[in-house]
Amino acid sequence: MKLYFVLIITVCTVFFSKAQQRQFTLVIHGGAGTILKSNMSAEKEAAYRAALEKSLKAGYKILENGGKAIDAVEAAIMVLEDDPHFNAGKGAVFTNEGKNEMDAAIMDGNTLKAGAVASVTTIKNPITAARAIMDRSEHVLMVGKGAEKFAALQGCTIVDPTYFFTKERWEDLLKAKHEDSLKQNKLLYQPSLLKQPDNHDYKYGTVGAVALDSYGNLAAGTSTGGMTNKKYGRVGDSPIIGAGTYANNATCAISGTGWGEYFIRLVMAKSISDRMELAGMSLQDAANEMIMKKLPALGGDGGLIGIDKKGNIAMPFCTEGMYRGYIKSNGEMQIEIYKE
Amino acid sequence: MSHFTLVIHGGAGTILKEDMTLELEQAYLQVLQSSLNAGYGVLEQGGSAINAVKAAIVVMEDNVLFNAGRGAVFTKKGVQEMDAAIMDGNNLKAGAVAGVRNVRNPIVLAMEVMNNSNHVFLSGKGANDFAIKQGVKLEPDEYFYSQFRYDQWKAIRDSDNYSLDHTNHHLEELMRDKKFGTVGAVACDMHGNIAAATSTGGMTNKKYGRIGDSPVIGSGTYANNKTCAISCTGHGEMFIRAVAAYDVSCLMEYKGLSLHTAMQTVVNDKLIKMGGEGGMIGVDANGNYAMVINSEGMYRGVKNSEGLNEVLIYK
Repeated sequence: MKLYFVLIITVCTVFFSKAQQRQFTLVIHGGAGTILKSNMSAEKEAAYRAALEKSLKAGYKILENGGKAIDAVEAAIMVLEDDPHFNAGKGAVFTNEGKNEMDAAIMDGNTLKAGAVASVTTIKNPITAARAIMDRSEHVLMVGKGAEKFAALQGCTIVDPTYFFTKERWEDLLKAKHEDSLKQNKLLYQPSLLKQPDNHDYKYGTVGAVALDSYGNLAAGTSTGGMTNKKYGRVGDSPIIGAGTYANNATCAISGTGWGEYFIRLVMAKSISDRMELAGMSLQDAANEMIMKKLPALGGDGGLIGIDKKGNIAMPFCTEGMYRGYIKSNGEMQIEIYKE
Repeated sequence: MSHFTLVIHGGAGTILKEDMTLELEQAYLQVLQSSLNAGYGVLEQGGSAINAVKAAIVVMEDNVLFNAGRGAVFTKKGVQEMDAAIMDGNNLKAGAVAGVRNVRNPIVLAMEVMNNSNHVFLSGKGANDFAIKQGVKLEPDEYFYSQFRYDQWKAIRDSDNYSLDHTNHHLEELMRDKKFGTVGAVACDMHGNIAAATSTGGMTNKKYGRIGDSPVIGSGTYANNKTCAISCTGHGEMFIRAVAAYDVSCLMEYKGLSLHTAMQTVVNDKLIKMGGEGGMIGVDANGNYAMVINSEGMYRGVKNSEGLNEVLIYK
């Protein structure tokens, strides 16, 4: 009888742990900013939703087949990089000099390994270059031409810079430059100017993904074209491990989007991990405190997506909207754009 | 009068007494002392922590002995590409530059980014353009030339090996003794504000536009009046992955650890587990300081309003 009981317990334990193991979740974002329903055509909204769904499904397919979180994150981001609606890869915004300079980072919460690129102009999918740096170099962060050279050697697809051109982003640049010319150089540095509603997504539109795989591993990735009309080789938070991107199996995986300078100063992504690890906060509470309180208090705005080791999700933002979505192992999928 | 404290470092690594000549040792100690005096002078006159760390670093950047500014190591291409960052713990403002050339004092440029741009981090040619716009002093290539660094670079130019400087030994020794040489400073001023700054030439023979932890806010450099100001030196990749400087701050803020215990936890536990060699210096807003290393040595010094004044090299 006793043996029989033990057997039942064992079977149950194996069954439930297997069921537990199968839990996986992918969360993505396509940028936060002044995204208002009143400014969006039905057609455009449908295109955004379709791209987000495609990205979620690309990552889901990997996780469903027992793939790793890091691979799902990379695949989901590649879809968004290839889609011209988002400010990453094709569709990246233009710098003041009329170029597309992109940044990306990826981090594996299982090993704390990370890779990042900044200011690259010829890599079709910057997230793949970040991955190559993580997997096949002894470095974490590479910039500019050097990073492009490494990516090419590692077999990343290299394209002519004209590949990244989109008419909409080019017009954004012309508009931003026009607004600049109307204002005194001094006023250029007034943050309030960047916050005007007509500025729609000049600054934001970064893409990112975080995932929990069936082995309990977390990963995070972020890719961006940065700010429209950016000057002087400006690098934002996306490629900064701890600021725009961070993953640690012990806590959470985070990808941020927003006013990068503030995310760097707050060490945004790592601060959420540390609030969980050292202060015992939940992902939701930690993320809300940073995005809804600390970020606006310092004068910044934006949002982030996060997932913890139990599969809890957070998607807070203090802007008008954030392109975002998630998909769970049971197939439950949700895509949102505006505030509730 | 409140306490004020300045702590500096000139890089950590396998710095052994038996490898050092008396003359070189004296030269290092002298520059460290000048750097301390420069930063301490600012603090003594009621100046801010941020100005003190800048002044201390400028002295080391102007000296060929350290891997920053004038003495920056050569990249694989034989040019100097320098990184620097500065952060003000009073308002969490920060400025950083990466991959800049011909800038006499990259720390001055980082300060310009902090004060006179709406950005935090600028890189490459764009950062140089900003330097020109702000009138930051540039120097010709010859200024940075140093026979010592040049020999070091030539010795391993044709290999794929990297070295982290403070050595003029031949290849095998370079690889056996991974060495470092970033400079940094942290300060607490009499108003209770703290600041941190770091400047580096990175790794000798570095390729592919590699950037280390020095210009990465939270990794190599971080300051927050609530907790601490930290400047790191060592195996940059590991410091980035550990978000090392900010980690010390979090251990103080959320676990209530002292500055010294928090730094010990990160340097002698977390970083060692990751295989990250190096060290860091720190101060808190009460003027407490610490210098923690897990390598053989670190060029370092401290000077405070209690009359302490010391420069050290070995463990």
